[in-house]
Amino acid sequence: MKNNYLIYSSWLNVNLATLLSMQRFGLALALCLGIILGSCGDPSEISDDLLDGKIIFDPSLLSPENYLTSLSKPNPTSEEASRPVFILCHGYSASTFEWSEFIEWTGVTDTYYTSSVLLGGHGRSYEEFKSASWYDWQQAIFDEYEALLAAGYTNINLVGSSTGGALILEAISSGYFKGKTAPKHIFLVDPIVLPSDKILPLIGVIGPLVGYTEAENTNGEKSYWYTYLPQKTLQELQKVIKKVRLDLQKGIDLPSQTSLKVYKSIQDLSADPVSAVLIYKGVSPSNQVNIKMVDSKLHVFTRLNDRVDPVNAQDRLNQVQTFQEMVEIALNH
Amino acid sequence: MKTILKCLVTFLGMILFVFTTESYAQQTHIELGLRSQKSFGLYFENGLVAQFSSDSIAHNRLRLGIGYISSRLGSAMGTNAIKQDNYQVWMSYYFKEGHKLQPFVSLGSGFFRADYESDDFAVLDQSSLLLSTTAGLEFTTPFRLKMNLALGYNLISGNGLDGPGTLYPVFAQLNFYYRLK
Repeated sequence: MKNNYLIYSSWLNVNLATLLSMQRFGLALALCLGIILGSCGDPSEISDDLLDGKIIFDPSLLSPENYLTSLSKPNPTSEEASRPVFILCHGYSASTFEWSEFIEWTGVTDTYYTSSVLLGGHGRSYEEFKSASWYDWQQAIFDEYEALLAAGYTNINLVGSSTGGALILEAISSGYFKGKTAPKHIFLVDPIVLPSDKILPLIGVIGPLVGYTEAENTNGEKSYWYTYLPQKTLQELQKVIKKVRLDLQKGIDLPSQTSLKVYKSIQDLSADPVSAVLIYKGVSPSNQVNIKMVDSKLHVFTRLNDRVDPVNAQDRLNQVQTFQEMVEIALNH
Repeated sequence: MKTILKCLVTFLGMILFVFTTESYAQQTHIELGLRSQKSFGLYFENGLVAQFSSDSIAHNRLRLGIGYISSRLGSAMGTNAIKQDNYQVWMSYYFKEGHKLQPFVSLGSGFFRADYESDDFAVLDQSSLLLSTTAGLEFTTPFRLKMNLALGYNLISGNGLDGPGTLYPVFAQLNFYYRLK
């Protein structure tokens, strides 16, 4: 064995001591890499009572006609086609449950319709969530938007919470609506442009070391929100919100017939409230933009069911007022 | 916050007085420079900096710095980025005095203010005390020019509940200093 070292040392033109120290360094490096690669795995076991598991799926996957107006009412009359349709877009790691309270509040009505979109990669198993990019998340919004246009609907309103809001802003900035019938109104609830967790921009560096993070969901939330968040999906989240921030920095022009209303909690542990400032400064024309700062500590304050923290009367008032205002704007403006 | 700012200015004045008084007996060094600071995940902020040191204080290893950097001179130039100003003071300790490559550590403070440009956002925190630590390497050229690169951490930053949302914790700095005396 030592003879081999002598051969290698003469071949590499270094002395034996240097070669041995290089070997020790190599071993240390291999050990470090081993630790890093070993730690960047997935959860060892995913319980079946979680959305992440292989049994619970978002119900819109089984019966999409109960969630999407393009499927439940594919042939509207001209009068029906002119009624407002709200395309409801949830946030990162959530599911259609996030907007279920708006649908419940709406009840049975024919004055407007709702389409609750399940973002791509969401509401399925952990593996499917992990393999989806933010483009996949967004594509589900586009699919329903185009299906509604093809069916003849003309009064389409987009509603986005958290990352759903970022995906809608990205769609405007990338010119998705050019050449199409633009949405009448866009409503964003706690849109994320800057995260409250300021370490998120470093996810590309620290993500591979941790593999995934675990969300602290309530028992009620575990069926509707992912518990295990793969670092790859956090990187996708960081990519899309960074793009939106830079787009806002350059300026985003709303389609001429579209208004934008932003509702933002003044305290929010997920989407920093300053996100509203960036939207206010970055979207034009300013007369089509309206920002409302909401006295709330909840992220996506329009969803109250199964919260960790107790919900108070002010939270209920915020929710109902926002629902009423959205409907009133869509029906009368 | 104004009280904190007054305290900082007073503190800075006292230190400058000590350095100035000291210069009668010992050589005092003054360096002027440019700083470019990038928060990881947010803006470039650029501005002016100055450092003071004296042969009689820790053998020139201890340096007092003051600076003003702003996104107005960085990411907010001609864009919709938020205009924000940082008034910084810091104390640095340099190791390996006399070497071309000198490691250093700093403890900084100061005042941060962001301009949200609308009363709609009056409910949000727009200013904060700055408290930071940095560590870096300084390269001395054969001329009077020095260049250093540092990584820093703001101990106070926005978190969605308190503090300005554009005050980020991790940042990198590139500084150029020209020695006046």
